[in-house]
Amino acid sequence: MAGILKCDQVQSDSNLSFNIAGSNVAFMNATSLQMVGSNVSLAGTNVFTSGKLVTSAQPTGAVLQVVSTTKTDVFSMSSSGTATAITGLSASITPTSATSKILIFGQVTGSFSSTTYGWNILIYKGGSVITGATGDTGNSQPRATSGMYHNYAYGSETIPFYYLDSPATTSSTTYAIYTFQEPGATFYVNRAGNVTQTDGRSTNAISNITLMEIAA
Amino acid sequence: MNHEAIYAIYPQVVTIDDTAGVFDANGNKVTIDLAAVNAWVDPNAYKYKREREYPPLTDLADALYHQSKGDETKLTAYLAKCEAVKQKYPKE
Repeated sequence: MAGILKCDQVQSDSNLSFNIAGSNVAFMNATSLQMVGSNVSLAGTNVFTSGKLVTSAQPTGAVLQVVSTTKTDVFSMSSSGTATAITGLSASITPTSATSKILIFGQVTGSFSSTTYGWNILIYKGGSVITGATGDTGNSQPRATSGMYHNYAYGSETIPFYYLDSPATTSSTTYAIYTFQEPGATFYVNRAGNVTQTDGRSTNAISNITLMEIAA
Repeated sequence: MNHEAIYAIYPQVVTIDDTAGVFDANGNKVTIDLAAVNAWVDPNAYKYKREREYPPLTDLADALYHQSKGDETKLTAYLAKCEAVKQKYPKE
């Protein structure tokens, strides 16, 4: 049956259903609108696909995806002053849009086998340091994302890092955490330099890197 | 993994990861003798124990002040406490 219904108003005493070829496709009442289909387009643009809001329809600032790696075991290195990757503290993300931002954040727990040594962390992307995630040049000091002056071998300290990156790609991108220290003692991740105490003065802690794709 | 023992026994080692393993400066994996690592005894263990029990240095500062005024009592007591700790944890 073909035909066109033209009217200014459709009234119903309770529920209103739309039926196409014998199947209900939509239903509405005073409080809700339900659609049987899972895809929705507005003005020719997909807004919902398979019942999920599509990425391109997300508002600026929305979190599009989250990737996280937590390192619970111990890493150590004989500190040499050279930036070295902390094994197991990296994460990869494939941005859904080249305009997306990647919020990189996390923490590193570190310590030394002796007192009074400095340690620092850097964020690497694809094997190169993100210089924008380090302090300015201008003096003879090395640049880092964050750092700590360690003063007690029986304890450890946890330092955070944050950086909003603009990778401008939709390819898989790996972010890794590197560390460099003042030479002279063994540097430890996720434990104290001296683990002879069991009274809570120091603990075996965790390090973590989390990546959030932010719609922009 | 006993990192201290590995560094002591294998001086070519520069990084250790509990999961990834033990590596030299060139990134080559170093094979370790677990029996030797487990048998290693930290020669400084007694120092760690002593450090925690020595009387505070502020007590020493106070004792030295009184000594400068001619009173040796506090310094003698301080040194006696140190001696007791040393005897409690002798060199191994």
